[in-house]
Amino acid sequence: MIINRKLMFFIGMIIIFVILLVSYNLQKEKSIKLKDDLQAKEDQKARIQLDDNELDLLARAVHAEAKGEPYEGQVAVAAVILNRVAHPEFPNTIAGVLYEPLAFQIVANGTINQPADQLAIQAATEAINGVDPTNGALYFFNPAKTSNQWIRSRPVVKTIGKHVFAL
Amino acid sequence: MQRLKNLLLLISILALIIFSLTQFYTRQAYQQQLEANYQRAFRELTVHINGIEEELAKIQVVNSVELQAEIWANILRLVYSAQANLGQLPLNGLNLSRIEHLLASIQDKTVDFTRRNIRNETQVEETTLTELYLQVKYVNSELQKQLAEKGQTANWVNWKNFLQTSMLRSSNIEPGRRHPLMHSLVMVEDGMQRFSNSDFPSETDRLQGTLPRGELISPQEAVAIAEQFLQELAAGKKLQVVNESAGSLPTFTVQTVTEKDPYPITIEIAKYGGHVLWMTNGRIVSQSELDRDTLIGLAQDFLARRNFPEMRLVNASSRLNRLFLDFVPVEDQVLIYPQQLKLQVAEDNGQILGFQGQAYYGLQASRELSPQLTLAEARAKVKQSENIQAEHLAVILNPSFEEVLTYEFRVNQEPEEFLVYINAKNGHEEKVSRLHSR
Repeated sequence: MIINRKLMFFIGMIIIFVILLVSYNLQKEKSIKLKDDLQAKEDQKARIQLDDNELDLLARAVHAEAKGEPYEGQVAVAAVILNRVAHPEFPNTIAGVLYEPLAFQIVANGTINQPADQLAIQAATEAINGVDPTNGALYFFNPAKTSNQWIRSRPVVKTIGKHVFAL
Repeated sequence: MQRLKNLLLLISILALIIFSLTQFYTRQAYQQQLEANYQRAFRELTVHINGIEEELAKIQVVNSVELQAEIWANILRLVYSAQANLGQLPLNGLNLSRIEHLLASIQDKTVDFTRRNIRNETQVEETTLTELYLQVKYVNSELQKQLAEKGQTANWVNWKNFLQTSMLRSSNIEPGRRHPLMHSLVMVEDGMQRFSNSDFPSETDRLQGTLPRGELISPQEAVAIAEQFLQELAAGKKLQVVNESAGSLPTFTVQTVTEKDPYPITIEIAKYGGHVLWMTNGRIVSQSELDRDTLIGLAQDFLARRNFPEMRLVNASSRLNRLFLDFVPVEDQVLIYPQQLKLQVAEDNGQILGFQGQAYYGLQASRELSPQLTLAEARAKVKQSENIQAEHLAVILNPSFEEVLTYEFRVNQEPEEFLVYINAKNGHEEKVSRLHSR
């Protein structure tokens, strides 16, 4: 009898533990989503006029990569992505370039899924209109954050804000 | 009490075991899935390259234009798929430029050959074709061989790579930990050195030839040019060179220096020739208050005051309360599309926020602008000639990036509108584009 009671207690504890674990995870997801909703509302005005999904994706990439950078630096990030699309050595679409395995940190850590703010959308539009502050660069990196030797060896074209743009 | 403690300890350990096991199996499932994705991409790549080889081999024997067209279409499909497969592989840091250039040049040539084939212009250059075929054949045979040898090894992904790429913020996988098939790709790439003639000009190379050129200017001159260009936009503001860029088109970046304004005007000046390549201003435009005609008038005014020649507005669209306008120069009544120039106007106060003029300065040339076909002859070549709304002579770039003189017809096909371009020399239908109304 006593063993049975012990066992019941045991199982009960495990169930509680699992429930706690699951609910914690759900809660985490929910709070992230709530934050996104708020931000989305803020940007709604900007987003309503967006019927171009590719522009939206580009803008989200700009937002994730270059939030807080000067406007010119944000345009430059968008321009690099577009330069890659046009280049024979990279995939032919914005999605192809961004989701190329191991190419972008923002894809690996999911920040690309956050909605873009108006400045990022504006910067993306600017780049689509042909403004290229990077002069044809195909790579960019933050020298403080990368340990990639290969990318550091590329010929540098320009430095804008925290990013170095290279061919 | 002691028993309760022991029990709690036991529970915690068990919970930990369960937790770890779930984590382990989830990770393994993701890893398998990723593994399968990479495996599929590589195998599909070999299938598609094999297909390209086969089709290129056949085309050397096929005589009829119909069958050739069919085969070219198939090659184009296969090349596009192969390029997509390459994009799905974890190639970061791997240099496969020869293989990628080979695919790109097959694509370029396919478009080119198809056009000329159908028009019976000139026979396909057999040497280029043979050269491309030999290269593809080499890549194909190597990949097939490697796949047969190492295809069963399943370690595209391992946890160390996972750690390296997602946690340590570095995306280069050490060569020793790469999948053996990735090594084969590098080997094939190196092996392609033997083809001396592997440099076919690509799209980007061709555009490189169109950059503005001229005398070297000093930073002070750049500031003066910026001042002259901005005029009232920079009134009372100090301008200075804040950056410069190297590369194929060296530039000075000039900016307005303002302490409070978070959105300075940035203007890019070519070091050689001193042309204004572009100008941007990131100001957030809150509301549109002026109507479109007023804004267009302001834009035209802006160009006129900067001594641009006659310009025709060819496209206008609005986004984020900014009006985007495309202008093309008009020369002897002919629209010169390659020299397109873009402006952005703020819809709240009519301020010019953006300018893009690289093509305008880069493609200045003297052009032969007399058509050989009459308007009526060209009209007869348009499919829906009864729906033609407007017509014009225009210089455009064809898909091979050559300038051609054409008749432009605006065709209304409810509910959409199209621009149809008929070559003014030989009557070929050069291009059709759909007008986007926004």
